[in-house]
Amino acid sequence: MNAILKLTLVVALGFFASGCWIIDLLDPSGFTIKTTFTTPPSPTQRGVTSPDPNVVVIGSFASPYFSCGSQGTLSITTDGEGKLKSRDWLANGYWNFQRIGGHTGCGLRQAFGYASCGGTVPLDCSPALTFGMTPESIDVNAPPATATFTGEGLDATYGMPTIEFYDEYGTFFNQTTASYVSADGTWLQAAVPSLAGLYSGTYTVVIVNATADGSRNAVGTASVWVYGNDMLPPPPDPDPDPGPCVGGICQVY
Amino acid sequence: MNRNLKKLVLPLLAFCLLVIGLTWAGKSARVHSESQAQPEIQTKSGVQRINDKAKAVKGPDKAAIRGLTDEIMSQYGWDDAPAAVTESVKDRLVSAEAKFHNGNHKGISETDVSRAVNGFVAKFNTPDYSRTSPSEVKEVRGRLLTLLPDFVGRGRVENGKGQAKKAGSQIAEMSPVEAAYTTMAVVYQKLNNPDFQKTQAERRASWIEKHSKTPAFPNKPDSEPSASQTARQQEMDGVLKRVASTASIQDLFTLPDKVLDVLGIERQKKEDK
Repeated sequence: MNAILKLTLVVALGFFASGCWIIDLLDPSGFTIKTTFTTPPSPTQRGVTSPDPNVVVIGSFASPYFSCGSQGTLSITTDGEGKLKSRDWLANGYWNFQRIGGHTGCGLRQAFGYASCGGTVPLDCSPALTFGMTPESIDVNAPPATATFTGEGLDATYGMPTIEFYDEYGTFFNQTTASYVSADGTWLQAAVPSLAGLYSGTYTVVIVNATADGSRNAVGTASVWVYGNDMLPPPPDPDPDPGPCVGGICQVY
Repeated sequence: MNRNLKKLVLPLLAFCLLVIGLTWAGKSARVHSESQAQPEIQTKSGVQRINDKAKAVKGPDKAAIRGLTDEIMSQYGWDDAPAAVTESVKDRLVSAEAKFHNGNHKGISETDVSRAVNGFVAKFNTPDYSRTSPSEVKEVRGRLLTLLPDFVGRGRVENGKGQAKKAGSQIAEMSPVEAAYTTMAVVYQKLNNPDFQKTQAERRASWIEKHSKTPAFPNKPDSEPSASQTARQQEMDGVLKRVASTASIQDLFTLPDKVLDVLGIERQKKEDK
């Protein structure tokens, strides 16, 4: 009897200490939907994933068998962190999903995936950036004289927008000013700055509207693939990954 | 002893069952209502909301900084944390950010962020591929710049204006709020993104391969998005559950402040509060 009471005490304290985790660990059921978006693909960069909150997800179970849960359809909106969990959803089988909304450009996406009991189903979207650039790629040895950027929200009221160019690590290398902005603010034309010395890679373009008080107002971003100079820079991080110790003092959480 | 134990356990058990009942009832009601409700599509995406809040920070204005801090923390799940912890972290970040824009707080480097992330690896004994490095943190910032041009790499802001950039200038050191955001973003990659669940040797091999020659298809993604988890994603899910179920409450309560210590974000003084 004493042992049962002690065990009950441990379970109860475990419940309080861990929220509902202990229930999920002892009896996993249903699954968690996680809506995310990933930066557009690039040949030299990895996509960075971020939470995509408040996305509508519709799903239907597509397998003949399941091991847990009781609900074979769902129509939900993910929370402010891009997650939603239910112990009721059927799992250990395949689902068809549609995700609607979220990050700009994601629109309606379909996915098919396996949900395990107590597991997580990632529903990712990799949309284009807010502005498109023409041309999409530039030969560093023969750059065009001008480039066109298409998007929305361009405004020349307080001066022509500025176009900033960054490499894949965010290093600023040059900027130029638009030479023309369409009346409806959907496209601009600008001279291509000198690209001398740039390595092949994907470069980020930030388009900044001029403002009355001179403050920064980025209106969107684009990317451009620069090629023609494939010299291999030295690999990053020759040293081991930094640990929690600095100068002999270790910060252990 | 037995009687004392009963005295303690019975009310605790009753309360526990009540909480479990209420939690399940609440969750069932939420799922049911969400299934029935018309789907609501937000007019602004999470990224747009962060950009808007960042744009509103034109200097050391604590109200605007608080808005930005609330937004980024909400998107990384802090709304579910105990208010006592959340409020203390937010207050500390807001105070440090205001000082940063006043020129009274140093910028935070990618090394500081990687040290903070790798502290989790040491503390919770997570897999080697969950370690990070300064260049990886810089890579994450470079990519986030495409989404958050009003926030990432902006540096110190005075009257809405950043510092003038010279050709070839490195991305600016991070403000305290950007450093907190970047730390959460890197941890998010380590938990969720297979492209970032790589050991240092794997990262280096991938980097050399990507930079050694012009690819034939510049727009080919690194890995196709899938609705199923990879083995490492599943392993990191398990790590998260293990940490949540085994870490002490004391540890979880004090962890955020220790992470901010490693980032070099000053603790609040009495006069700051």
